[in-house]
Amino acid sequence: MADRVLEISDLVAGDLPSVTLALHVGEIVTLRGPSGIGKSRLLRAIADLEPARSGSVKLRDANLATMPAPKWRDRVRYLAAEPGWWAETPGPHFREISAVRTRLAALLLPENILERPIAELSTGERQRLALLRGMEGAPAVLLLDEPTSALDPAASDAVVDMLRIYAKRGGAVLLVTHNPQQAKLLGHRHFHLDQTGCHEISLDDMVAGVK
Amino acid sequence: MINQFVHLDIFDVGLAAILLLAHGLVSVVYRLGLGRKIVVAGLRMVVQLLLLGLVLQYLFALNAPAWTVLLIVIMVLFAGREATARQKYRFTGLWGFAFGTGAMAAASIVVTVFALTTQFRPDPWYDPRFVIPLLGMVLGNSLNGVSLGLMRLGEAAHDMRPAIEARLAVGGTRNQAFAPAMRVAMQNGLTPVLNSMSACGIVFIPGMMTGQILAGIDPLQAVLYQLLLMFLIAGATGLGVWLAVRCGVWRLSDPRHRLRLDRLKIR
Repeated sequence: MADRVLEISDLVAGDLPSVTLALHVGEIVTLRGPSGIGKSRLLRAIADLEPARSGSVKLRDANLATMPAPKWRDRVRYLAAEPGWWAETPGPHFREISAVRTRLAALLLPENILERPIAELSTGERQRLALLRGMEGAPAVLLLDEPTSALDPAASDAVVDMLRIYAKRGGAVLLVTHNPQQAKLLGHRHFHLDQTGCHEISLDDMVAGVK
Repeated sequence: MINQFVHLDIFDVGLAAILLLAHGLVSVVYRLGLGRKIVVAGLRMVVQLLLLGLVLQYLFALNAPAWTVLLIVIMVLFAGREATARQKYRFTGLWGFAFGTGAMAAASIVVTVFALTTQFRPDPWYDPRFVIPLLGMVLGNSLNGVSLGLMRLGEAAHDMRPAIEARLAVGGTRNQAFAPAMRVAMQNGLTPVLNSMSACGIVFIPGMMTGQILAGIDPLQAVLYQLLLMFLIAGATGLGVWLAVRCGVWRLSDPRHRLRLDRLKIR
């Protein structure tokens, strides 16, 4: 198939069976599966934050193993379910603070948030800031681990809109979510992950929560 | 120089040892259960120092580089063990011991050689009468810093895991991601030597200086000696802490710029 961005071939992460999956330009693929099965582990292995047991991942024509790791993760961004912060305020976490400032409103974030102590922000605010941080510099692929778990419906809709625009402009998203409505709203294809492997499922099965 | 120092004999020291009885009395009265430990620690100190005295006497008379080197190796290995024992966060395998020992040895030897070739200039420059006391002093004092630095690095890597991985996940290098952890580790390692530099002379009079003054040396000369030693200690500690922490960061990450907490053992 043409326009493949990310190609995961027989990737084995942790105790999971091997996973084969491709993401195309502008495509959002959802991933469901029982808690604790290793979805985060799979995303981390794709971002090369932990070594895979075997298999390969390719970004267009470039192999993960041959690209320097920081460059790989700059193009293939993993966003953890609980984001980490290395400075006291959100500001220093961004590359171009003026560009970020213009995007705050789209995620319903107050203007002065970049100067406030992270410890004082709500979980939902931190989650949205982490999304802005992860989308900075236009990565080719986003690996999202429940990006709206801490958000109210309005903020959640804002995130969905932002991801739609990202995909429309050619980005590819692998989205782990437990929210069938969101998966239905965003996903172009759907996968289910369990001990037997990673299988593509229909939208109806996905919404019904069965394989 | 007014050389009128009081020659100590074994009875003078024995008299002072009676003070340990007060120590023991407290233990008995308050049932601290430390009686045995006090006796053992006291005896260890006496035996170790007497042995050291005999070994030094022998070595100085012998003046053979090979034996000096052997003693240095033994000193360094013991220092390395002391620095990395009893740590809550330790490196798997012998890595922690290797980093602690290597960093301390390298830093202490560089600083000692510097002092020997520029300030003391004994002939020959490796004269054990200068090498052993200098190295021992520098080694013993940098031990504390290196030990603290390595321990704090392990703790920081463990506690700051989300922050470190967040930085890596947006394309940061391992040096960028580890910078905050490195900072706290080095601050921790360097604090004791900074404290003792600011406190010495007011809060306490250093043991070496006291010994020299009692032995009849002019106080100003004793001060200069003490200053020189403090600078050597500060230099060795800085170098040692930096080396140990750098090695630790290297071990806790890998060439693919990942955080490798699996190389850390927590007790």
